[in-house]
Amino acid sequence: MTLTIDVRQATPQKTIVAFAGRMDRTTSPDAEKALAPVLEALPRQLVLDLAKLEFISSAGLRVVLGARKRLAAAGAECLIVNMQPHVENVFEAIKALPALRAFKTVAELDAYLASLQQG
Amino acid sequence: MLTWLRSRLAAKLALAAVAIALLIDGLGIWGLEEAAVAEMRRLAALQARAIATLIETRLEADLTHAERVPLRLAALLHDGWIGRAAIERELCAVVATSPVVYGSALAIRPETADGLAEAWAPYCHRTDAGVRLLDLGRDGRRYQDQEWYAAALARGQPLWTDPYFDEGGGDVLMVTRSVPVTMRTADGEKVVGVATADVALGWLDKVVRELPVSTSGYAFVVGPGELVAGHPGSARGAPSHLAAAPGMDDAYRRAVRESLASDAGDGQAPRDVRDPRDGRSGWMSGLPLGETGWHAVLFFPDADRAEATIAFRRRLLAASLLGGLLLALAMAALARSIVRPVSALAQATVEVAGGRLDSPLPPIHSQDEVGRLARSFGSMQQALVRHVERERLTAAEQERLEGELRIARSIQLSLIPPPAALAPERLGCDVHGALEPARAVGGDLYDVLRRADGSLCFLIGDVSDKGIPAALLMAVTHTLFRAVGRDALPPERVLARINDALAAQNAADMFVTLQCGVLEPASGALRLASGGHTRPIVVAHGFQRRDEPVAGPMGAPSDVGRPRVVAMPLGTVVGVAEGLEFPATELTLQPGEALVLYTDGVTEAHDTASHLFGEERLLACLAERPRASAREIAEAMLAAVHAFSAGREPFDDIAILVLRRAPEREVARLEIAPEVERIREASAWLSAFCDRHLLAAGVRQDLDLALDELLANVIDHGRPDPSTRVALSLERLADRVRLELRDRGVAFDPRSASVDASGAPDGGGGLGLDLVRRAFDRIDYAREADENRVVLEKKL
Repeated sequence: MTLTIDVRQATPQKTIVAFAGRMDRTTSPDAEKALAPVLEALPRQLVLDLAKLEFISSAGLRVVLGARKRLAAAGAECLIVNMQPHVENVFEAIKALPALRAFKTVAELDAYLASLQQG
Repeated sequence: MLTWLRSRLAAKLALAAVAIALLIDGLGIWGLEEAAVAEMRRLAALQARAIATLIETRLEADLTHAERVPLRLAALLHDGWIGRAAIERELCAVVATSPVVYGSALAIRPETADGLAEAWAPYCHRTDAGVRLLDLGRDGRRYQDQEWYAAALARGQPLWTDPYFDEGGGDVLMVTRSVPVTMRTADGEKVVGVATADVALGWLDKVVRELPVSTSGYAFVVGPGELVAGHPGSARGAPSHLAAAPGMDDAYRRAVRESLASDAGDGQAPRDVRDPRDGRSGWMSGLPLGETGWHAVLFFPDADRAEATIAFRRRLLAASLLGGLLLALAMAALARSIVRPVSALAQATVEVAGGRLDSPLPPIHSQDEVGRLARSFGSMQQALVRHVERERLTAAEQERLEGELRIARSIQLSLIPPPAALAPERLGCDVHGALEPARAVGGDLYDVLRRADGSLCFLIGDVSDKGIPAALLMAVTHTLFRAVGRDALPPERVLARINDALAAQNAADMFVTLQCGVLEPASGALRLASGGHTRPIVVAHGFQRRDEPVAGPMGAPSDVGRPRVVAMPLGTVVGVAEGLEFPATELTLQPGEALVLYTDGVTEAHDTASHLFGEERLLACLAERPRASAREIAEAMLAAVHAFSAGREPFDDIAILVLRRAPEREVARLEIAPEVERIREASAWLSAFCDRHLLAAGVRQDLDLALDELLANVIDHGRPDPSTRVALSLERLADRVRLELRDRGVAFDPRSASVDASGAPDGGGGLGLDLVRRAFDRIDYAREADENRVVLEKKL
């Protein structure tokens, strides 16, 4: 099981990156490489879809948190959706969750985004 | 333009027609010109003949008349001398009364006796003032030397002199008839003189000059002695001899002579000659003028002929161009009448081919080929529409059927237990099943039920058919198993109940082969009952390794590795008759051993040469995988069957059910080079271990995480020599699992690594180790010689 990365620009402001498989020490460099141009483009919102992420280790966490940090510095947002329980456990274990805007489902995410637009 | 022409039938036809018309016209002009030349020759010959006849008639009349005059004069003296006065009177009368005769003489032969010795030649001729009489022998003039006199006497016959130009007598062209005059005397008849009649031929010159010949041709006459009269090169009324005639050169004279010499009449071939006066070339034609010894010669200039033919040719060309144009128009119109419906039809064809089947065809009612084509196309279109409609209905029907089949398939697949139902934690045993219907739905089934006492009741079966009927019977059988499988019954009783229920309501006389078993995972006690089903196979826990302590009562190493078919009676197929009994067999499944149940779709799979996969291949396939988990065994079997029957449609449904007892204790070992690329290998090794030992998902997750973090730490920070190895071992103990990692990198105690959990989550290696520390119950570290040794333990 390796990592597959699907980058999709949903709207000019929103880019969705879906990860499937394992984000570990072996595959994280690939994830980092795939995210680099996305971060370069600096979307207003970057949505990381982790629905099919089966495994994450600290190497993968660093990629996700690094992306969040970089976007936050530019006033943009990194949103996480569809986090699976075993992945969520890992985020929780390092107390990283409060720093992240994570949504259980796409519906929750959309509701949040809609509220942003109204506000 | 050219392309356009080539693509237009009308233009092509018209062009072809014009080309052919012009070719024919050209040939016609060529041929007609030949004919025209011949015709002109004929016309020229006719004209020559006409002219000759004209001249000839008058000439002959004149000459014939003149011939009689001297004869009459001669007759006066025939019977004796009549006296000078009478003769003179007679001469004057002749000239006066005969308009043809210019003058007439009676020349006395002086040598003759009888008083006629004296030279006397009375000559009467016409003048403007009337008739004049004179003596040709006056003043001693010697008429005796003149040709008309001497020749007539010498020949003793009448003769015509050659034409001559009489300068003394009146400046006219003349010809003289001389007749010897005989007189009866005492001595008999004697020639006493010559009587003559002069015929003036001045008119000849005049007439000939005025004759129209062709357009710009001319005619002239040549008399005896080659006297030429009327030739336009000479002055009017000035005849001359051919040899001296003005306006001629040698070639012209030669041509004239040849014209005179040939006497071929009307058919005489004209000669090509050039008039030296103006350089015009033309034909020359000579014709004899009756018996007069005169000839008419005519010159037809080529220019006239050319003029005529050019005009002719121009008309012909105009006519042929007009004809060609009309032909082209006609062909274009004809072609258009063909092309227009055809191109309309072609347009419609494109429409139809483009999928617009109902596009209207152009109305073509003609009975010709185009009409037939249009009608054929029309009926083809209708057939196509009908066909497409039928196809659409069929496709819709097919789709509906396929939709139903899809639903049936998902229903059938939902009957077999989902993976979660087979989770090892739940069953206490490593179980994996696979079902592959040959068609959308099939007649194979398997199921595993957990009984209240913790034992597992499992079933595998194969309905004696394929497709929907088999699927229905399979569903019934499955339902029956679900109803009775949980009851505390031995497997043979389960089969008997299913059999009775099926046999009681089996209208279609179908049957099913079933293998039912009850396994106590804890002890390995296994009871199997067979209803005509293929015997299962037991796969042992593989070969022993020296570093692997043998646990549990396993067999001798010689037979542990060999998969073996369970020796048991097959029994009767289920569903054919009520009240059947099924044979049962008891055996014990050793720790790590797997029971493999399958349907004959596995062993009866065909390759492209129609060989069967067979039990031997299946056993060989299983022997290759000692220590494999139930999933690995099932997947390996499917892979082997698929590889074997590659390129062939699935022959039969396939069902596989593998139940494997967990091995009691195992130490798995792996050595990898300290490289990132090797971590994947370790991860797979770990995964297989977890499968074999039925480890729960959470435990797997933690072990996976620990392995990734520790190896990453060693490789990224410990940096051992690449030639060294990282040694890994995994051991499942009774109540816990243990992961050991040894490396030759920089000394590092993972327990000591700190992390600021709240602030900087993107920090160094501490983050990963923090995760590991949280997940494991115990972490030991030791630096032994130049080796780091980390041991992690997690309770199960």
